[in-house]
Amino acid sequence: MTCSSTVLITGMGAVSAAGTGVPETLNSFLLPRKPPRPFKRFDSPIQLPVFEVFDLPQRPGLEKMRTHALAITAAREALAQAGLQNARGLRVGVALGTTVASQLNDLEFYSAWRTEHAAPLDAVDRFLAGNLAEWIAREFGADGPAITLVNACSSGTDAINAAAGWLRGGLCDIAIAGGADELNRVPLCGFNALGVASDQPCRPFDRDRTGLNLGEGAGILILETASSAASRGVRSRLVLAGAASAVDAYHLTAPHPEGRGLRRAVFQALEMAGITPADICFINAHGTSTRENDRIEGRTLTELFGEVPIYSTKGYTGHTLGAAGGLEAVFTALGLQQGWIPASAGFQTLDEEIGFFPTLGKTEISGRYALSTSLAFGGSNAALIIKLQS
Amino acid sequence: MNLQGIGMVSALGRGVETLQAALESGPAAPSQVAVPFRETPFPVYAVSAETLKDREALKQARRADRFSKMATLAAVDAVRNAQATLTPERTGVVLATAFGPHPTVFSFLDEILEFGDAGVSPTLFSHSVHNAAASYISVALGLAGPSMTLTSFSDPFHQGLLLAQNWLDSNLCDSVLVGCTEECGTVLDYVVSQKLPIAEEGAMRPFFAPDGPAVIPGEGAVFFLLQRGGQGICSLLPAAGPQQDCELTLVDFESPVLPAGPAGCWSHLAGASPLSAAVSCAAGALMLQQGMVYFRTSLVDCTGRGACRRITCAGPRNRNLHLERSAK
Repeated sequence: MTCSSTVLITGMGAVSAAGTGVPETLNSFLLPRKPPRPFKRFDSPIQLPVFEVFDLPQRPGLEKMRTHALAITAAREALAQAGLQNARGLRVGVALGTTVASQLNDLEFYSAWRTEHAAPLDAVDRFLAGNLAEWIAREFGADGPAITLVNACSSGTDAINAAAGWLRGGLCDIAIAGGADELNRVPLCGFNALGVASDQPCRPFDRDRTGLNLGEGAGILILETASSAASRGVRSRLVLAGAASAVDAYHLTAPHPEGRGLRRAVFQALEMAGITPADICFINAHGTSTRENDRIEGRTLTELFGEVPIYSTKGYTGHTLGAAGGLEAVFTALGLQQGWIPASAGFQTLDEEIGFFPTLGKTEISGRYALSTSLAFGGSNAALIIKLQS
Repeated sequence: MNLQGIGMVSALGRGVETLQAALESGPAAPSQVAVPFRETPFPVYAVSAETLKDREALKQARRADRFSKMATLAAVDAVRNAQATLTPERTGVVLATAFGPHPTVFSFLDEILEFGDAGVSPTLFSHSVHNAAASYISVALGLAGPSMTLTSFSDPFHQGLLLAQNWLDSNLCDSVLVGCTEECGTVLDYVVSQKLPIAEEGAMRPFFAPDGPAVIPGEGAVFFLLQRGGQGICSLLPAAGPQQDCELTLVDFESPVLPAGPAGCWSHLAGASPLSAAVSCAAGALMLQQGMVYFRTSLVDCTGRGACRRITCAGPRNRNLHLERSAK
């Protein structure tokens, strides 16, 4: 399938431990990384290092809705860059990925319920009003399609893929797309139980990697049809040229040993963009720093793309789960726009089993196409190809 | 897009035939379950453990939770109902839900509270993720196309259909399994009991009833196999606004008003839940397939009986679903 209509990226917003806003994020990519630290916002005997956002703008009413606050911060930045204050009067859809915000996992509420078999319903009301995409749609006055993608760690990438499909299919002219997730005690317990969370700063693709560090954040793109952007007098050189998703149909938590679904997602995205692997100038990999993900993803990407520069930004942001795909789409677009990509923070030693060195420092790049990949629980794999047009 | 097959798991049982039977005879009585938040039993349209027994279809989902089992069985049945042979790489899965596998989430919270943060089960955690069910569907049917799980409180089924339609129209897929899954649980039953009148005597009332709604929570899964071409059961078009020459409107249980003209309300046959739009769609498709229109409720305008060609399932915010019988 080839693109029937061009999908532009007319705005970007990012908030993570790497920075609040795109300029601060870019700056932090040039500095030695800030190490993750044990989380202080809730009490837990699990003292694993995490990447926390410290300077998130506060807003009344969002005290217990941190994912929403993260999403609003990134969406505001992205909309402003696109020359929009809100979505009113336009045909705007919202597709956002998340994990934490999709679950009624309020321990305070549930603990009270267990004890009394009755509990105040504030947490339930927050949950019922707080479907992430529906919330953001209301916040900015968007009345197009609105879905919250809950595909675990590929949610953000899948949301961008879904939104691009809406634009190509004429369901809306503009889409607020990406992902957001907060640090939360429940996934911290879960990833610790799975044995994939490290007590050290993460080291994606490194031989001695010992697991992931959780993080939080939001990454949002404003996707827009070329005709809509033209009618608003907005120009952008960034194009979402390809997007695809494919499943392994193999295992609930483990990726397919040969990267079956990842290969298919990458090839479909290349096909949609009308290019070959030789056209890709760099890859922002999922690179979580877990033994299995990095081995399978790394081997698959090297096999498909050879010497193309590869990096993971998890060393700056941690694994932000549902936000990861959104953030990394922003980082990929920035790499093309700025002409450089950062070091794959945390990497020191080549893993022979993977067989490549990710970027060791700031790396100049030249080319028009870049790839971002995401892998997830459930065997979901997703790929985006972003193009810098002349 | 054309609807080729339907799979349904609910308190009515398993298979679309159970919905057909309920359309003919009316809803069955709900289960009465013991709940900790009140002394008297609580009415629920619950899926029985017997309904979820299928060693063959669930052979790779033995450790799955109820949410995933309901979804997998309904999806497998939709393919069987269509008698379709699918191309794995060209078949997508869209699972829409409002609440996801919340009893599994609460079981995980139980572990945190009982055994501490470091004493929880990794298996429970991996099943608490919303897309676990779609993963089991892909494994059970050997599907390798795109798979997305989405949540929405306002209209999950409609949003899922828009995504499926997009995949078919853009030639990304030849077939898409799209469906809704919801599960009951004690905590959600409590929430419902606090927010809505319960139909204690078993007779539910829709929101448009003159004396207001009375509900009984329900659970289950409804899946549809959709394809771009082929004859199928009926064509299906999610759209805003009315359908030209629509002969019957199937109104959602939660609709505040009853539309003018011939209308029916069957969305609550398996209980009140966000599944309702999918149940309505299945009911409409069956009516078109069987050539029989069912009006059996005192709350709707019973103006006629017989076959019709076009049915609209009216959704919230004017997001409707138009069904048209396939030409023979």
